[in-house]
Amino acid sequence: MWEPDQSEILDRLRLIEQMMTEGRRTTQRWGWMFLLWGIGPLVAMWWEYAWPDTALAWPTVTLACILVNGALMRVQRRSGEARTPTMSAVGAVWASAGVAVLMLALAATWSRALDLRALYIMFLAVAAVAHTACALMLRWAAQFFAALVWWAAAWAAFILPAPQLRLLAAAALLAGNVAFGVWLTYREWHARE
Amino acid sequence: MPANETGTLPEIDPVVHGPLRLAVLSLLIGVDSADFKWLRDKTGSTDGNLGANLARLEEARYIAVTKKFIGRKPTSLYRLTPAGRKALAAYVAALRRLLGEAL
Repeated sequence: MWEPDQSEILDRLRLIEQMMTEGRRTTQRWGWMFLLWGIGPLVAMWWEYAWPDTALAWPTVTLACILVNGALMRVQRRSGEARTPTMSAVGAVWASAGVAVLMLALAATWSRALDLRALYIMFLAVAAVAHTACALMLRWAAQFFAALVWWAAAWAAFILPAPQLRLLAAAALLAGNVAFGVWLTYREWHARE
Repeated sequence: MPANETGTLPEIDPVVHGPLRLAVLSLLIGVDSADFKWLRDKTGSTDGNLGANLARLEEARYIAVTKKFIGRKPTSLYRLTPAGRKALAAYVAALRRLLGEAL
């Protein structure tokens, strides 16, 4: 029969609380993903601009990003992981955003109903919605600011002349994904140190 | 030592009571599932010790194990069962009664 003293009971309760808190603390890194999906599209845009006669830019870069994404996620899983409801929800948001962008791009390409302005607005809005949803779930101000960048770009896409839409998208990628990814990577590295 | 209304001490579940098993149950309550390596890193345990304690929890049906492949690597994912959740809650309640706190 266990007959503990008060300090032993308190130690047990502290262990429970400590482990519950520890369990909720994620050690995973996600900054790389924003960097990948910020730099990747920028590379595709530059390729398309430099060699406008080829149609390979977006399919090649998108495929490369998907493969790199998958490989890095496998590496991350090998370091040990736990899945929480929040992580599952955030993952679902980004997976859905990716699928939406891919489906819209494929539909626009095959149908040749390529209204460029509408396409840019859709892509910018999908990114804005994904960032907003995650910011709300995580209650994270930094991601909310990234979402604002994408919303501002989506708004601007209605107004700017067509030749400037590519620059607008590049600016949104730089500010909304790359800058956010750099900041997040630094924060994650700092937390580990 | 404080006792309950019938004058007896609250029963302590021996399966939950082990410190490493208690730590595992407390970790799993905040997540959907976790793999062996994550549990080992969080508890600071050795492979053998953790494995033995996980087997005990599985035998008591407080945790459930799903085996799957990530790439070519077999992985076991552990999650807390409703019985495990209930057992942990009962253990915490028993500790609090032992401390003399009001329910």
